[in-house]
Amino acid sequence: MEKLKKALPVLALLLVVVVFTVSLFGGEVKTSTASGFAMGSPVNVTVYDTKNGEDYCNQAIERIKYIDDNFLSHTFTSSATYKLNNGGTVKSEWLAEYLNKCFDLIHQSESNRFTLFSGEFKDLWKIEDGGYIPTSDELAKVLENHENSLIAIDEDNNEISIGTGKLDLGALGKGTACDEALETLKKQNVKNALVTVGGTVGMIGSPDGKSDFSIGVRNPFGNQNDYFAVLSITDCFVSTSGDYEKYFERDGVRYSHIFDATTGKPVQNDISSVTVVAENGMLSDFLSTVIYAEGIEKGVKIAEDFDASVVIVNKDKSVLISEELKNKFTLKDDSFSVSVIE
Amino acid sequence: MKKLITKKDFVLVIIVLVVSLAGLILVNSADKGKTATIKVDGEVVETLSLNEDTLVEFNGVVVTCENGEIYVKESTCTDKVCMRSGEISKSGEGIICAPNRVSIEIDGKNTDLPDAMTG
Amino acid sequence: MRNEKIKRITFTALMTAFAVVLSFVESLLPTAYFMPPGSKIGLSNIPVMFSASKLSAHETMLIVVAKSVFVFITRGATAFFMSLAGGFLSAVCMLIMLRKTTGFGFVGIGVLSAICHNIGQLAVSFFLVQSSAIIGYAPIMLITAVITGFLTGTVLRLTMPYFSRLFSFKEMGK
Repeated sequence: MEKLKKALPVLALLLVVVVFTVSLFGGEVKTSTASGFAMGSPVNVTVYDTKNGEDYCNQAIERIKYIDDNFLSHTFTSSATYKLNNGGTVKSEWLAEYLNKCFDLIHQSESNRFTLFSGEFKDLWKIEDGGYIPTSDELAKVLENHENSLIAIDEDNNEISIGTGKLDLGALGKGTACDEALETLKKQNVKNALVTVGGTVGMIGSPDGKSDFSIGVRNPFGNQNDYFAVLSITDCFVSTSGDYEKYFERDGVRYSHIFDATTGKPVQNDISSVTVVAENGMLSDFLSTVIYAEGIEKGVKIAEDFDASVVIVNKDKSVLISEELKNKFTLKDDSFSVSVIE
Repeated sequence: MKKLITKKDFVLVIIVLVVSLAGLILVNSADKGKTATIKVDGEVVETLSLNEDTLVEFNGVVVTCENGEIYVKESTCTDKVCMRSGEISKSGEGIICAPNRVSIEIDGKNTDLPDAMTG
Repeated sequence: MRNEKIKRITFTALMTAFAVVLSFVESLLPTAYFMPPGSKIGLSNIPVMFSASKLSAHETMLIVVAKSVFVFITRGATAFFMSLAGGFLSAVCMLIMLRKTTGFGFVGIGVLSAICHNIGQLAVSFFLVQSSAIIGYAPIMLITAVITGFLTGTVLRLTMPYFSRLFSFKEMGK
């Protein structure tokens, strides 16, 4: 018993050391993730090496849901898009500014195939509903509506109204969501983060403090998890538009969800998918859709005008990549042939 | 008769606790994994990506992946230890169902799966 | 002499019954919230420990096997092998620790035999699933062993005098 008493202080000290180590490691900076569903897609937010990372992730997801619920969703009856499509008017500084940005992008790209009003095309072709090939009369009527699909924004009180035609901000929604999520995280001083909304990815910093993020580029001919190449990049946004996302097939022809506003028909060209790396998510989303719609020649020129890099996969498995991506692109599937855009 | 507790016992308890706490810290400070390997009888039968919400079943063990975490939702075994093991997500963590000879382990960082997918 | 033998057989049977009943009762109790899933206090180790100190090695092993057979009937083959391997290892540990002067008290013996019990179970699990996922269970099992070992050791120390008074006969292996 005497010996035990002598040993007690030593043991107590040992316990203190143990408790101290536990508390030290317990509060350690860690990688946190959160996921949700918005913009019709799964959303994932990962924050690396930050305390309270879980809270920040959830804040970012909340922000995305806020944007989706209130502005961009065309299914939620509470959203501005839904109200506008059903003859209502909307007063919102955020949306007014956002739409102006959209128009600036379209204007700068000089594309007439891209449209924010693809809603009626989608409904007509029933892309997500089994598919339907419309008659030329039906097509003409929808195209006429589209012609008159003006949007009016009152600069004084941010009141927005639209003409005929249906607004569909889905093409830019995922990128916008990534932008908003990363803005939210940056405000919390988060330095390393990865946000994915469907196939659009936004990232800052590094996953391990050293290397860039590795982003798999989906194989357009494989299933959902197949990637044919990996991009090692950071501090940028990546989007991909492809003919495999939503489509239906009739008599061997694939009709996919991206429309040519000049014809009112799904885009038909040699491209299978377009991946764009750009400085913000709205831009990368916009460019991937525009380049897909415009085709290779004009598409490559648009990418250069916007200082963005591209990975274009053709239906014959030939791949074109921008010069800037040469050292950041690793091919993982040898059945593709890669060439760098001069 | 022997004593209830001796100094040696005390030292033993402390050593065991320190070793196990160190082990716990090691497991808990690991980063979240990207993939999980499911084995039956030691043979790999499936590799799951933690980024995807999925449900798979092997040998009567229903494995569910949600929000980057994996847990056993249902099992035909008698003790249900696997079901009560909770969610795992960190590299090196695992769940076993010995009666059904199924194991699930979160893989370490060395998998060359990309951080995210575009498309 | 004959009387002595009957006494021993009766005692072995009684301890077996004790072990089986305690193991059954324990399987009905829910796991305490602070304990890892599936962990048991190991109350049935108390009669085994008592046997290890009062009876011979083969009589102790008989109890372990009998208990495992009961586990086989109620909980299946996997639980049987785990119970057998764990029971065997912990019984060996108890037999050595209780008979030799090692400086360990009842708590220490309880903890060590609980650890041995867990090692036996983990070994069987490892053999069955052949996966390193088992290693993740080790730290939590060690902590569990400390708690359960402390409990069983203490209970044994407190009940030992009464058991001894009930059954006094020539101790083996001393």
